This record gives sequence, structure tokens and C-alpha cells, in this order.
Amino acid sequence: MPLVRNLVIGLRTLFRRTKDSTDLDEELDEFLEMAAEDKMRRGMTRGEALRAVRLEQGSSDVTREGVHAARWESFLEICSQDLRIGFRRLWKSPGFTTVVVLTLALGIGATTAIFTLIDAVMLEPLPVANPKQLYRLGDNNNCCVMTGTQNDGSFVLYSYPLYEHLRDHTPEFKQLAAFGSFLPDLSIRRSGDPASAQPYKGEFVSGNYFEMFGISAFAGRTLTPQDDTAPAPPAAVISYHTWQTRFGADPSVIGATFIINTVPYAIVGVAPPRFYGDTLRSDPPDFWLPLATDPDRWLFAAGPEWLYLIGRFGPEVQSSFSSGFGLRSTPKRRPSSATTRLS
Amino acid sequence: MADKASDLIQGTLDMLILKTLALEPMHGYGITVRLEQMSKGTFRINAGSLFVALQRLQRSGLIKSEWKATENSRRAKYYILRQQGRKRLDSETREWGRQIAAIARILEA
Repeated sequence: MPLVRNLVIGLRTLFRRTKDSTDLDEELDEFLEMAAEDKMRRGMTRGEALRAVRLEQGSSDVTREGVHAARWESFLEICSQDLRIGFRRLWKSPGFTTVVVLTLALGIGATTAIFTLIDAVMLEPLPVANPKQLYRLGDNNNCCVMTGTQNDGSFVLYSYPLYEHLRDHTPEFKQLAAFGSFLPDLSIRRSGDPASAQPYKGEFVSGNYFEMFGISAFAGRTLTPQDDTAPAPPAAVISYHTWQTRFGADPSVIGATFIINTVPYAIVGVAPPRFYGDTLRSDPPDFWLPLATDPDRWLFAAGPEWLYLIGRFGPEVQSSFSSGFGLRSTPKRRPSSATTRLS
Repeated sequence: MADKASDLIQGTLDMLILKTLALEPMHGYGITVRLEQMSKGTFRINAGSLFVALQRLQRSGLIKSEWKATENSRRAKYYILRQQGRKRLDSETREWGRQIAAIARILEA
């Protein structure tokens, strides 16, 4: 209650400063006058009395200042005065002001930009379900297509039959998905669109790719294992970013037919906004296509190894893993024997 | 002697002003005269300390003020004790008594 009262009185004083200060002036004058009269009654002349009072009481300006300074709202007054002086000085030296403002703007801008990047890349969790359950099979970043023993036993690329074998014989994985280790350039034209085909980045992925990541579509649906079979009609998922920036978030894209490298694909859905694929890269895929639709010959040949694998463990398997024994050893033991046996 | 008031503990001046106003409403100068008289000249409060204290008391709702005519038919601001101020005076007087007694016991030990 006293706090509220103090606040109200303070604000009132702040906005009726002149009345308040005349009040104080009058009160103070009256005080000094009474003191002087007292002394005159004791036999001083008026001049002597006034001098004596001034000696006793000190300067009335100092008294006034003391009373003003004891108020909380005087802090606001001082601040606003300081601000006004500050702005006046800045106004007087525009060159200095410009440099200061630019320095601050660039500094804040750069910091914000860097933080935005760090936030997106490092702080924000991946837009996938339970990333801790995900394991990539392999221990290097070799790319593209290889045959035979890779890098002295270090291993990361898999042939399609080896992927199938691992997928079907590792019950520890709830899901094991495969995807191309490189992103092919695609030439894409919307069916019925007279404009010429445009270049895009694509990624061939196994039918359970989205299911393995635990990702559901922003619109439409994601690819399913059904799409990843030879007789299924070709289907594709478009990235949210591409859908927004290249197709103006046009809802009719979902369900539309796109001619991708001369093959008609149905766009079955849009991936969620922050999903840019399995790898952090500057040219993320615009479209995800089923492995089964890859026209390359490597697909069902056992020899060439060109797929990356990522799998999801069930919670019980994950907790039983220690750092010493893990998936890293799996591809090392398997590659040559498994490929030979399958080929 | 004029600065004697600043030797007072802050709470003490407030308590003394409340005590003075408990007898009757009074203007600023009257309060200093009364305090000087009652303390037999030991305490002389100067205008600076007095008006700061009056402002503080008024803002915490212990006293209020109004302009009235003086005996010399001039205008002066009279300070009046509020109910809350009276309560505060009672509690501070009790507390003061307790402390004085404690200090006295220590000094006489």
C-alpha cells in the first residue's frame, strides 16, 4: 500500500512539477520567515535576523535540491536530462554518430546471423524422432560407387543386396534404411507445363527411409516400402523448402505428375519444414525418390557399393550397447564375406 | 550544532517528528522549535533534514498536510498525524525503549 501511494504521489509530482516546486518554495520561505521573526522578537534587527537564519539553515537552494533528490522520480528526471544531453551531442557530431550506429548495427547483425546459424545447425534438435536411437553403419565418408575392399577395411558403402541382407538379418534394428551416397542431378518438368525442364537435386532412398527417421509428411504422405517395389507407380516426395521457394507452396503440387529425367512420377507429399535430408550439406535434395525407380544398373548388381545405411534401434537394444561393442564393428566383419556369398 | 540532526539515526528523526505531531498539527518551523524546546536545545533540526523527512513520512502515508492560515494571518503548510502514523509511533516508541534498555544493560555490565 505505501508503495502504491509513493508511486502515485511520485507520478503526480512528475507531471505537475511547477505546482509542486512553488509549493515547496512557499513552504521554505515561510519557514525562514518564521525563524527570522523569532529572532527579531529576541531583539535582532531584521537584517541581522535574516543573516543568522541563513547561517543556521544553509542555502535554501541546497535544501530544495535535497528534498528533490530524495524522491524516486527525480531519478527519472535525471535520466531523461542525461538522455537529452546525449542525443544533442550525437546530433552535433553526425560523423561520429554514423560510425557508432553502423558499428553497433553490424556487430549486432553479425552476432545475430552467427547465432541463427549455430542455433539451426547445433542447438535445434534434428527434426527426426529419437535421434539417439539412430546409428549410421560405417566409419568413413567415402562417396559414390566402389567395389571390393574399401580403404583397408574401413567401410561405409553398401551394395543393394548387402543392404537387403543386413535389413532382413539384423533383428536389432527396428528399421534399417538405405540411400544413395551421392545426389544425382535431376531434370524436372511439371507434366502439362509448357516451360522447359529445370535442374534439381534428388536422392534415391529406400521405401522405409522416412519411417526410419520417424518423419511424417507436412502435406500428403511420405514414401512407403510399397513405393519402393518394381511394379509400383513411381512416386516422389518434395522438400518443404523447394515446395515453398520453387513452387510457391502451391497445394496442387501434391498429387501432380512431374516428369523426372523423362519418367513420370506422382508427387505424393511434402517433407516437413526443417527436414533437409540425412546429411548436412549446402545443396540438399529437392526430391526424394524410391530406390526401385533408380535407372542405374548398380541397383540390383551385387558388386558396386554405393549406398549409405542408417538404422534405428529399438530402445531395449540401444540401452544394452556399450561404447566398445557396437555397429562400427558390424560392417568391418561383414563386407567381403557377405558380398561374396550374395554375388 | 546546526548539523546535529544529521547525527541522528534516520528513524529517530522520523519518530521524533511523529511524536511532535501527535500533540497537535503543526507547520515545519513549529516542529523544529518544539523539538528544540523538548530536547532543551540538544537537537536542532535544519530545514534540509526536516523537509526530506516530512516528504518521506507523507509518502509513506503516516502524515498528511494542508495549507492553513497562521496566527500571523499568513499561509503555512500544516502537517497532521494520520491513524497509521499514530500506530507507527507507538510501535517505534516500544522498540526504542527495548533498545535503550538493552544498550543500558550492556553499558552497565
